[in-house]
Amino acid sequence: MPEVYNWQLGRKMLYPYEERHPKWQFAFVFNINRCLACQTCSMADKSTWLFSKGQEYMWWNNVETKPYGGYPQFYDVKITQLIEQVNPGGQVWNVRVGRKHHAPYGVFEGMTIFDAGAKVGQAAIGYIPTDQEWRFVNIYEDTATSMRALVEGIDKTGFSKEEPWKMTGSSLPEHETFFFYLQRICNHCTYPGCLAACPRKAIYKRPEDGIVLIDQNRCRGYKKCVEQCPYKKPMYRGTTRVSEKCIACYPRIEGKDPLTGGEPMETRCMAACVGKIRMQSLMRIGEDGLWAEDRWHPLYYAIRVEQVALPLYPQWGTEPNGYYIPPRHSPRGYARQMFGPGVDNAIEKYLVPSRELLAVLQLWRASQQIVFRYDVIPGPKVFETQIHGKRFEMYNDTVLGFNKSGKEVARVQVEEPIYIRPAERVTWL
Amino acid sequence: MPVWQMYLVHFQDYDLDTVHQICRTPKDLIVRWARDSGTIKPAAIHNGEGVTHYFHMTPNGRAAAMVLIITGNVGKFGTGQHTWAGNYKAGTWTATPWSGAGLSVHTGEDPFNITLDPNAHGKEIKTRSYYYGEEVGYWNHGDTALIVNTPKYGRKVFTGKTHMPTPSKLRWVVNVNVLNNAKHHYDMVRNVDPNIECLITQDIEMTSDVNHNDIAFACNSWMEFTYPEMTVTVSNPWVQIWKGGIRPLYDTRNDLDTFAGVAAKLSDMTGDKRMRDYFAMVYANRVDVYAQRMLDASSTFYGYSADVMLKSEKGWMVMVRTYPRHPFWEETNESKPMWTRTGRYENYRIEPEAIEYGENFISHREGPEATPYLPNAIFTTNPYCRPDDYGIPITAQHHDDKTVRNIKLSWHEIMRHSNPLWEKGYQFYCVTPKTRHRVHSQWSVNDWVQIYESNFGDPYRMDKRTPGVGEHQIHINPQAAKDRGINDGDYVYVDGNPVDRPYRGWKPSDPYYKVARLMIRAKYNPSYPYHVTMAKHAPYVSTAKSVKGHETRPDGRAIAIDTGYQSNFRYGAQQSFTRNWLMPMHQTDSLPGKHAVAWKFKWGYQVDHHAINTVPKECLIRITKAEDGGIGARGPWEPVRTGFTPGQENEFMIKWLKGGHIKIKV
Repeated sequence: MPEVYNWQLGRKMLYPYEERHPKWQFAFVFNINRCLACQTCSMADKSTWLFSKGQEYMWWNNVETKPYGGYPQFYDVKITQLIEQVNPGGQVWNVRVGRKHHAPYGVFEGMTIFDAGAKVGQAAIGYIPTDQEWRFVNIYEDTATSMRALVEGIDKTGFSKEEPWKMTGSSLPEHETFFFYLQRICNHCTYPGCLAACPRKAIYKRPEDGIVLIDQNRCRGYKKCVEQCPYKKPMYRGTTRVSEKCIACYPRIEGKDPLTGGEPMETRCMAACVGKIRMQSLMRIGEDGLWAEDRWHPLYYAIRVEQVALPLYPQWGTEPNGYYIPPRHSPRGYARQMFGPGVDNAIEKYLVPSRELLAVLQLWRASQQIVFRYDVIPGPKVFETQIHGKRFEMYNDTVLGFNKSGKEVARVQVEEPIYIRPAERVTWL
Repeated sequence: MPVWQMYLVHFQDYDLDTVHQICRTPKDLIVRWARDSGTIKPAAIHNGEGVTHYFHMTPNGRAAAMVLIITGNVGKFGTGQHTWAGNYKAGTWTATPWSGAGLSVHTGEDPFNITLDPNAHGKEIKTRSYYYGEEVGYWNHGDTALIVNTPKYGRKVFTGKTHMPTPSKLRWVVNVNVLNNAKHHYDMVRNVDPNIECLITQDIEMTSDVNHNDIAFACNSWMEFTYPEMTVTVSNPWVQIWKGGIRPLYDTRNDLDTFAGVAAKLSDMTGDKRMRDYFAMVYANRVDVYAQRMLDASSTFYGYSADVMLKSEKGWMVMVRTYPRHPFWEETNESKPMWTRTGRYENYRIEPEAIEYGENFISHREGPEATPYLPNAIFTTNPYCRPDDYGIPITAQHHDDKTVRNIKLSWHEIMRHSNPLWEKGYQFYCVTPKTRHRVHSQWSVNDWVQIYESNFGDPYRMDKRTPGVGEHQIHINPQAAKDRGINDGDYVYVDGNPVDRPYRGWKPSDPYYKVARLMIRAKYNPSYPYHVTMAKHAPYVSTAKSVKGHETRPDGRAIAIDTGYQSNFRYGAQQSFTRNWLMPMHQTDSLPGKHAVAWKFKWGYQVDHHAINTVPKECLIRITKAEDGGIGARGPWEPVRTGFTPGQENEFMIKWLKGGHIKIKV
């Protein structure tokens, strides 16, 4: 099996195909801290692409409550369990090697789904969820852990009449009892598990934008993609007997939506986001296969410069192109298992953001057009305080976003502007 | 003695240990919150709307406001106490001396002096209201006011004269599904509505209100309005002027057409054309004239042209006084006084009712039903708090007795008394917050909403017991459930106080009791303390016909056999275990406040502002197992067999929750 370079793992890894890269790569950053799980994204996606017969169980976009929720049920626990069986106790990140441009999170010394797959004679390790497991898309919404209970047995006196005061609370930096929302679409991976798995070569990655698609004419519905995508984002449709997956609303990426006059536009799930947690763009790929240096690209800045956004389950080895600002209250061990060893740095950066990061974060959902470059106009200092013992200064800077043609499409300031109308417009409630 | 000196006396009861015992908040977090409130500038309290739905919302709201008042966090941007109510919008169309009568030019036009000139300015409209507001909460209280026979004074009326309801002869509601959302729902259906001569509703969906009414008008949704509309919420800085949307999908009419149609018919029958004249612009399809009059007559909008805005290609949003919208901005930053007796913020209530009810000071009160201790007790030993118990014994259990009985005690004394209901095994609080997946109670049975709404959404309905493509659930602490033999996903019965729930006069042998008794899926959720459960607000209730539907249809769906009404339950509803409570402090005749739509004082009843404008969630419930959760009631619900679910984690899952399947070599 050929070897390819996975920068998220800081090393080469096995993959069934030679390393090849698109010119641009579809990528996104979701800020978990802002999500309220309203599911407007899910409904936007469902009502655009997934309302037909045979698609009843399909949600290309879903938002699940972690740690118990998952669509299909417990997919991430199950993948972790499958790898664990092949490589018990061996999922190790080595951060002693230090952070380098080619290995920003250190080196992963454990097994990817491809490494583990090789052990069992498959392109990648995986499983096909049963029909029962595709039910209950929003299972365990808003359900928290009770970590203390796991350790000590559930404290029955917690709210009982006898001893109501034996309660302890949670506070930052880590909430012992926690949940958070995880927003998921296809990650349009650099090394897709689905593409590796397909015996018909019906799955391809578009050279122009890295979007991963299933050729509906070539697919014969063997479900190998369903089995070997660890994120479980290809889904089988019984009525057509072929599989389908998120298409990253590619007509919009191509600028075909009349609203933007030919300029690339963000997908339905991104543009509909009420909580302003989502931002999406295209990353230019360099000759070495990594993202080309692009200092004034908002996502490049967030992911590669500040490293405030991290890939989802990078240890699975598909080099996903979806990134997350991790939940600031999550126990760090759980978050590292999900986003890798960069979690501590990312949360620290987010909790006490730099002046530039705070400005750039205002760009989330400031435009329907895809932003390719930003600029910051400095403003005055308006606030300062201590956050967890660290000094934080807030400047009312203005951030500008530019589309692919370099035209300004967003202009937002850090502080919400205030307007007062003349006295005759009085409300006086 | 000055108020703050008295409060220093009052606060002596509220030491850290006692407050911790009352609210169960960890002490270090109470201290931290107090410190943060005093040092972080600006600071705001966003308490959500649900908190205001409890019996003691008044002391709660006053307490939060007091913290902000004494820390200087009122009326400045970034400060204030906020809920997310969607009503209280009328004040945006405020009457002023220079603009005119505000909203009243439409809602209060003098019916004996109607302006028919479409070009008349809003200021020219003659207003004179012949209607008065009355709260639906009294209908929900057996259609009676709050009147108690007290040992000390005999018959005592606690409902103020300005609040006094009349017996309900006719109920006509618009787009509110009021019966579905009423506390004590099955009592309303069984014991109250049969005495009302005519029930009319207009709605955009097949709701339970529609199913129980004499007349239902099918109306256009917002998307389908063919008339212009304006709206705003009290927390939103923008008024939206809306010119109408898509063509109606079905044979439906605008809400306004129903009133206009009835008025026209009444004119035909009586020969008096004034009823028709009152809606003249509706028949002429010139509703924009009414919009223009309201714009003309209110301070926010005078000078704006409805015609320009409605004909414009752009959508229009008109800004109110400030952006962001901020309550009390004018009182804090300009010379406007508060609408109080002193013109200032008031933390002490001098109204005679407040003194009598022991609420001149802000104290903690236990709930009238949802407490393990003495119901409705006032926690204070402050000598300046002097409530009247009307001689009602401490053992009295009637809901109205508990509602009005004012007893002040030390916290130790309050805890010493047991609530008999608790002793009988009703040991769960049940909170009913709104869900994020619906709009209030709308779209409860839309397929995708049902699927997302709970742990049990399944478009293929593998378990044929599921009433629709999803169903309602009650969140419960895993250990509390296990102690009662209830597994995650099981069906359970939920019972409220048997004295009057699900409805007054129920008998186990009554066929309607089976319809009304709640059966619901249990969902393990360690987020909830042992004695707290949660079921979301306003799913579509079971009706006799929806029960007959799932008991007789081959597919088992809970669909009413005639209308096609879909229920979210097999049996009962979350209103099976609730009842109405009429808070005395909401019914005074002496409390001053701003008139809803004008710059003038109003004492006592004020629609939405000082009234029984909410029916509290105030109940204890008992939970018992009904059926196994597995498909066809065979064994446990499938997901719990994995070992990955809350409260039943296997060794691998416990390690996974702790992040133990990744190691970091540092």
